[in-house]
Amino acid sequence: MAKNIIIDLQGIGKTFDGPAGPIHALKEVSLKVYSGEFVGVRGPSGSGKSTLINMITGIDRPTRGAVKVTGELLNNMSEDQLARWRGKNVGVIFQFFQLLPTLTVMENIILPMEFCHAWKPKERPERAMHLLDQVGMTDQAQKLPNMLSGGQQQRAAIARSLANEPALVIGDEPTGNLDSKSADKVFYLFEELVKQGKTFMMVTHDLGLASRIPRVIEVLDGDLFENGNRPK
Amino acid sequence: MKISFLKVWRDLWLNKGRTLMVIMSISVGVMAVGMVVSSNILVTRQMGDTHIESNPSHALLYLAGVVDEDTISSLERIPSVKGVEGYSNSYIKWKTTLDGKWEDGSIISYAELENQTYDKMTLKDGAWPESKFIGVEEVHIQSFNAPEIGGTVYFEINEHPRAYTVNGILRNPWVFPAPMSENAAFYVTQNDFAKIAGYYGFDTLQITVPEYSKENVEFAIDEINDKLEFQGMSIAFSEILHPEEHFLQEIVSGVGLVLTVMAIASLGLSVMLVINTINALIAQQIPQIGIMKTIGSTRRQITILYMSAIFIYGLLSLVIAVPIGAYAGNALAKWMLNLLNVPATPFEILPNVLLLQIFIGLITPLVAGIFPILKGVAIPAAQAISQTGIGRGQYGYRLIDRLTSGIRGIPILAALALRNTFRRPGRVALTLLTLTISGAFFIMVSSTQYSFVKTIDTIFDGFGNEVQIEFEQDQRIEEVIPLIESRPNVKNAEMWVFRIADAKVPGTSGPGSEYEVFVRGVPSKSPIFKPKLTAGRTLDPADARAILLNQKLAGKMGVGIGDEIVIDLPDAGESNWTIVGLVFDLGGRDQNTAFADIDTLNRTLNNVGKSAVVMIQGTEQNLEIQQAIEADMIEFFDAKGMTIDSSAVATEERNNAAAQFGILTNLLMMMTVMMAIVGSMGLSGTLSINVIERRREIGVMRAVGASSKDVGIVFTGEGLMLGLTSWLFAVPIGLGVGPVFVKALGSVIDFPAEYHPAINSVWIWFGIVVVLSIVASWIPARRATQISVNESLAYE
Ligand SMILES: Nc1ncnc2c1ncn2[C@@H]1O[C@H](COP(=O)(O)OP(=O)(O)OP(=O)(O)O)[C@@H](O)[C@H]1O
Ligand SMILES: [Mg+2]
Repeated sequence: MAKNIIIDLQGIGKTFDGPAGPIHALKEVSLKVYSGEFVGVRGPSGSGKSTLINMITGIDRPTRGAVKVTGELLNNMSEDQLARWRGKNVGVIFQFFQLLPTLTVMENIILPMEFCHAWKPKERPERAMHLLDQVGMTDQAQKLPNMLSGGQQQRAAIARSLANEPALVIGDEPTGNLDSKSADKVFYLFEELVKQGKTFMMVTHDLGLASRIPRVIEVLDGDLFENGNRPK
Repeated sequence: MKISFLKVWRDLWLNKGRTLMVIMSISVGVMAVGMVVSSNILVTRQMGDTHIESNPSHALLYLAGVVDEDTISSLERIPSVKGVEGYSNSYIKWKTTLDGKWEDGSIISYAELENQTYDKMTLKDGAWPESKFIGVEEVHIQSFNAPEIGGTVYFEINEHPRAYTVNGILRNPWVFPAPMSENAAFYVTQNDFAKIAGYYGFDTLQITVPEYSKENVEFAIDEINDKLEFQGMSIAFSEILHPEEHFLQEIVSGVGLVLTVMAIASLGLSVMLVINTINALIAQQIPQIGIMKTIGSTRRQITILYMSAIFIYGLLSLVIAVPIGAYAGNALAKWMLNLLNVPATPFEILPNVLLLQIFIGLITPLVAGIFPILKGVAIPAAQAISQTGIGRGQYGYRLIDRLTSGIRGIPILAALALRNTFRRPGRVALTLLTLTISGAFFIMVSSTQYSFVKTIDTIFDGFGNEVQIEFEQDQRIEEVIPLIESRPNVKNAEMWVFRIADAKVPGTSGPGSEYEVFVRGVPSKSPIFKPKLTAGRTLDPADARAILLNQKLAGKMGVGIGDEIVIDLPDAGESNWTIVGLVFDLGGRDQNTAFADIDTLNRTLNNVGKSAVVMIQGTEQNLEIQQAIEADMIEFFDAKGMTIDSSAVATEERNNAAAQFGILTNLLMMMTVMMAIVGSMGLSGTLSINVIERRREIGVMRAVGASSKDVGIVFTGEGLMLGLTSWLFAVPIGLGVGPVFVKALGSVIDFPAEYHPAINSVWIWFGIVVVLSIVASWIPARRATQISVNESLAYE
């Protein structure tokens, strides 16, 4: 099977205006990720990992350079177009789970389907249950997020990220807030996703986990390195 | 239901306190508007309806004597007149028990009580008066303890009490309850009237013209006057009435307008409160908005979600505001109608007011909410979900932060309270604005109250704040004065001459050129007459025909100091007078008084040395002494066979006038209280928002050893700080805008009160603000003290 490029960053840079002058969070970086790949992102605190991830998910925009994800050029899209595109094509997982506290686990998973008008309303609960089954959370479907452990919340969040069957799933330190046992279970889920053909990219500080990821990108002071070289 | 709406519902429920706050504040505004508008509509409609129902005459002519039925029939034959009816009205003494004290009252009689033509009375209960059986004015049963059906009233006839039985309760559209009226009215047959009053005949005529217009009525009045003068009778004064509009409609509309303005002001305050609360709600929701965007929601979707929440707020507030507003509006209308002796209608919800309430109840919160929502939704997703999003870590950059943090050397808790107070400038500004506006209104309304009372005092001080008696016939001044001054409690007495005349600008003639004027002759160097001059100087005995003219009448006539006017005095013809001063006086009819030297006036009248009106100054100026003088005079002169036609005690009238204006100022105070409630709700809301936003900080304070008391002090201090700051703003605004407010109000109700700032109210508001601030801080501060370290640091 020919490998499709799913993430294509071409010379992107990101500069923030800080109180003490500009911060170059990302210097001209380029990166290609092929569909079906499992990519890890590592680096010291403040090196620019989250900034890189936000470029890919379209949560933030680069100062320069072109971002092409799932074949779309994100640079020219409006915020609403980005939101719609993200909802359909990218699953996002956060370090702090970020489930909406007033919705049950099940409802949290249906919400992205509703926003993107995916599936018929009647099919949504069934689909949500299927996703919860995948992450082993069917028993917790009717609970509110605050009643769950961190690991359970993160598994629910993973189910939510899959709600609209995205080709690409991205996590910014998705195991960062979990104990090692829960982190392990969650990581196992990621490996499953990749086996199913999803492209998965995650930031992690955990060296043990990173060693289990086939492709690892290092972020150092706004620059990307892969096996010591700058990727193109 | 859609999941996203479910989320909004649950968020509302989760923030019960704030949801309630928004709902309550919308409700107060919507309620105030509903109440005032429905009351205005109900009152105006009911006044108009009952006015038309009474078959109103086109003019009331108060005669300078009485006429009989033949005269009335002859007047009806004048072509410009359509119908004439007369009634008799006499002041009498009455009591309900033989050993009771005599009370002032009046009896009214019609030729055909049951078949009146104009300004018809209505029989509310029992039967129409018959011989020895009388009717009582419905509203006077309460106002003056007049007996009900079956009760006995003793009238004074030839110094003896004569018993009459009440057999009917009536309503006369021209009779009002206290304090609009000063004594009780009874309705009697013509024979009984003659027995009690001692004479027979009609002293007031109700007339209509074939086709109503002001000119036609004026023309008819002139013709009637000519005919009456031919018979040696004349019209003392007349009043033209609109056939469809109640004769008090103008003043009621004025009051209604003032109330409407205040209701809109409280709605404005509510809106500010709503803006503040929704702003805070949205700020709290920013991270969630960020997440929703990340999982695929557009800004439009999120905006609709929150707008629908606000729509629900609006709906819920209507549930409260509509019934309370309708109830309060009906109650207010009933109360006002009762003051005007107009029967109220049963409880009613006006469809138009309902629509108006629904409109403002739904629209205003949406308008108030749209900006905070759009602002919140516009925050980029990256910023919204990051911990360093809005409002965090910004303290220290703004000018106000540097100002408040520059204040050093105060206790650390005070410093914290001070610096925290101004951390959210927008929120603080709106909170201060609501409190400031309520405070300013409080000071303005208090000043209005004070100005009214002071003005009434000035008037009574300047025009004989004394006992006034009027003899039936002119007396020789030099004979009467010594008699009066020899009586107990009397300090001194003087006589005035009262005449009703017509004034005009020289050289003018025809309809509209003549102005009714109440001319009063006053002694030179009178210790009683101390008028308030608005221009020119007072009278000088050396003047030729000099006159002080009421400033309002002068304005109407377009004349000023130094101008001459022609006065047509009864039985004396026209004479020219020079205006030397303008006076502020509420006397006469619509402020149409004029003052001249008594000797000059008497010479013009060919009446030298004579007068019927006595002004008596007591040894002390209080109600008891004045009433004692009045009673003594009546008895004393009665014994001498000199009949006193009428008497008045200034302090009594002063109190009565004050009570009448008190009705209005109390109404205004009620609206002010409503504003203060909104203001303190705003303060409480702001503080509880602050508590929620600063949970983490509170936790840290607790972690480093702050007691519950310390935390409480910081938040109560913040509340006090806001309250006192608003007071600092409210005082100059209240005192500064006060004169404008009093002037505007005065022109609306036709009472040109002088402005007197109520300095007391500044301190009273200070006290209220302190109490309100502490009360408003109570719940938020208590909540703050209940936050545990653990919970606050784990929050979010
Ligand atoms: N909104 C912002 N405004 C200003 N500076 C920012 C902003 N976001 C990030 N930065 C800066 O950009 C740099 C990179 O930040 P980024 O969050 O990408 O780091 P990171 O590698 O994810 O760190 P961590 O491992 O701590 O999450 C940092 O110096 C950070 O302070
Ligand atoms: Mg990061």
